[in-house]
Amino acid sequence: MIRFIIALFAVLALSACKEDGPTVSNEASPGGLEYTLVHMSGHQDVTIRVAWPTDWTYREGVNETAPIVGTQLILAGGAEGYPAGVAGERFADLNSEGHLVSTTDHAMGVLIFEKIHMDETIEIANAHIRAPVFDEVWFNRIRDGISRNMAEARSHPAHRGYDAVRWAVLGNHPLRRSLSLDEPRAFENLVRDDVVHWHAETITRSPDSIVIAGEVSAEQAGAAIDALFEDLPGKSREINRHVVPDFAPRRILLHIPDSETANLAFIAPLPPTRLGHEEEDILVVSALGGDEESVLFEAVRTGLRASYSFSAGIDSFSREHRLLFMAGAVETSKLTAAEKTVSEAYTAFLEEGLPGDLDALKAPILSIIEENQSFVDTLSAAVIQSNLDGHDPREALELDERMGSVTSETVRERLDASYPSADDFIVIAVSSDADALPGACVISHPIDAADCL
Amino acid sequence: MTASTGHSPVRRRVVLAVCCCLAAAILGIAFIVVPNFRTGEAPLRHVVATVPDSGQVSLHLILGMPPADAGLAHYVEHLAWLNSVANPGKGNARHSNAWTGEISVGYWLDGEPQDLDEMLETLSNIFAPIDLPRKFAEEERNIIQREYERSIAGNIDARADEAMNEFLYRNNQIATSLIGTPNAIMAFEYDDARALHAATHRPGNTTLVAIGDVTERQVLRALRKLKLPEPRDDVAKIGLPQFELAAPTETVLHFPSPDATRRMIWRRVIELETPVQFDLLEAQTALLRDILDTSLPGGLAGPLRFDAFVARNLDIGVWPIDENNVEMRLTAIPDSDVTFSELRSEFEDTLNEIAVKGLPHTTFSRILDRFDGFWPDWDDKDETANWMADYAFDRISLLREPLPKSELKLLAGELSLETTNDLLRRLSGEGRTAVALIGLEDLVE
Repeated sequence: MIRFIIALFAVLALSACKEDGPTVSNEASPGGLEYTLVHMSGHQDVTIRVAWPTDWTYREGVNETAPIVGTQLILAGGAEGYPAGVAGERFADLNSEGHLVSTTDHAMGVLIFEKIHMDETIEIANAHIRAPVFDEVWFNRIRDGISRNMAEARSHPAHRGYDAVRWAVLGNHPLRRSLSLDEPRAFENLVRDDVVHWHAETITRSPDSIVIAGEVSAEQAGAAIDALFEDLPGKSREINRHVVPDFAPRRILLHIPDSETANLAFIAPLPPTRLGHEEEDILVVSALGGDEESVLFEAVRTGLRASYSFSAGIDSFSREHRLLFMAGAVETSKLTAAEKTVSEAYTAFLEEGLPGDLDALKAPILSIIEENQSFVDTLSAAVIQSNLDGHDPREALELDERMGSVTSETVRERLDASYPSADDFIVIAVSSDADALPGACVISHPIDAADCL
Repeated sequence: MTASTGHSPVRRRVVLAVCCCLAAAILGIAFIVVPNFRTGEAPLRHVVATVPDSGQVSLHLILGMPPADAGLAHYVEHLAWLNSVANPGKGNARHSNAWTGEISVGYWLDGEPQDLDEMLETLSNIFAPIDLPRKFAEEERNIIQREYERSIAGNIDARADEAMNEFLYRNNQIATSLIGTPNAIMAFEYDDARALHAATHRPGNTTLVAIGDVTERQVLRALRKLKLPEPRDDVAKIGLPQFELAAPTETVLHFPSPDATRRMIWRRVIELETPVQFDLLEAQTALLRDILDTSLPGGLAGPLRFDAFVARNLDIGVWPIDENNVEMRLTAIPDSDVTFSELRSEFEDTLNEIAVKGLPHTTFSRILDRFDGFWPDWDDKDETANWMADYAFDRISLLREPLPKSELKLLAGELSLETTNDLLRRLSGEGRTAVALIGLEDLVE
């Protein structure tokens, strides 16, 4: 009996020692770098995320392919003290991961590692972001490889349809060229110095946000961040992102005579996430076109029987310019009917609001949010997005509560205030039949969409 | 994990578990016995993988499929799903879909554990004869055409793999295209589909896999309430088909798409000298894959990607087809001044050279140290429960029996440099080889 009581106390004691939830605080490193610390007890892994701002994609006079080539070259081409291939094997030994991705507004870097390997992981990462080799042979290899991959992607009719939409909305703005990477000879014209220039002005000691998540103290985190940014240059320019997209509704048909498939997409702007209500948006696109139970699946596949699937989602040209899209491949002979069906289904959805049980719609999303909040890499991703939106980083810890507090009324308000009517969409179809969308602006090449008014 | 084939072993397990808990309490040890999955035969063969506190349950009915015309089983799957589960009710609370594999089909329904009885009843409607309007059923062929366009027509790698499968697996069921060709799809006959459905969609040919916040007891209770079709003498359980490798030879297929990035897909199937238990072979092949993928001595990435500029990208796969046959797959994108023939010969020569020399012990040890992630952390209860649930589903989908955790945990100790080198030597030797060359041979001057 005494042993049983001891065991009972032991269990109770363990319960009392249950891991504390994450906490978020804004800190500064000894070297003066501001960062957000997400303290997560009981985690062996640590994640560091960095968002370096850029306006390279908004500027004339620079080669738009430099960021994508540069990020891949930093990762694969070797660095001071680390010939190509060496760091990859060492990271694999350490169970560390490193990624660097270029977006239109930022170069986004992430390190994921076990805390016991923090020093070595950061040392390797610092070498790569501070002193990449940018070897000419590796430069040519990566540049040519991406160029070929983009050429293959452009052979897909749906890809060319989205190229046409970017011409319609952005014209020949550098942002369009950066998103489409379709300018003739853009890759051929890229030289190593372009990448060196992009690296020097982008990978600096002045990121928009640094987040470190894991079971680390502020002292450990500050030292780690100073080591990661050691000997990086200071900020070299003020960021100036200016673009005025034209989302005026148009109906465009891109005629590709040998296309084996027909594709249909509806595209319209949504407010940026910095203005809030992202939870309502997630529920809206989930109900509208998230799966086989959705409004669009029911309308286009089950009702019209024109498509294998027809979905809705949110994409973006930049952080400021988000898009709502509804898209799918449809039977060529049913393209006209599909346009009408989607338009009517969307209009009815706007009028009636979310169908079905709201709690049931939330359940799988809440499950994902809760799971994400328990991992250092996913929670740190949410925190850095909060930072970049100018929100309190602690909001990332409350995503589940905020999703839980969404009601039919708040969704109704969101639909009324921010969602386009069916007539507000740009409709783009890609088809072998030039007459498949009566009254549409028929074009033969994506660039022609700029003249569809 | 504990396995059973009837009811009495369940009672024995309960008694054993109670005894263990009492003993633990007396000794001052606190633990909870949570088996990762349980299996049983009556009234429907079932595997229950309990994931506590998940708040959701996924029910899968998985059936073996016999050889049939290309794509016909997939057409049957579409029709059977539309005939039964397509509208599972409860608005957003339930989700359902279906899939067709090389030797099996599956239907699934997700929902809340308290609806288990009703969900099972809905899902079991796949056994009901297909009774869709003929026009509707024939229209479904157009839907499958759209699926074909999405998954095959616009995907040159998928088209290459379809052609390579036909060659590599010749005379075996898995050589047959799952979706068929556009002409074959439009030629599907509704009556043929109904006949294949009637011959296969029977309880005796079905395994229920229940994953989530349910126990075997709850699943059994729900199963006993079901009105399942009576057994039929002419419908037998369809088991794992025997794979017989056709004569060792090779083929080279060309896909000269002008827009495609030049790449080579190289695949080889070899027969082992002696059979190896499937789960162990799966681990051995995965370990070999990891070694070949490195730039360390014994890897392919060093000689082909880093030390010399032969391939700017390599993607390697090695996996078992069954206990006797293993496949290796390499997708390689040649560097701009490397021809397809140079790429192939460099790759095959390097593979042979590594096989002849044998993998260095240092490399083997180093990659073995990284191999922890192949299995879950067996001490992590949640991770193990989720892993075992996925594993059980995977094995049943392959018409195989899942191993208990106790046996899986022993597999790591059976990995050795010797067996890995043996496997490598076989793969570099005689086999049935298919090579697909995608894109044009347009070398830069």
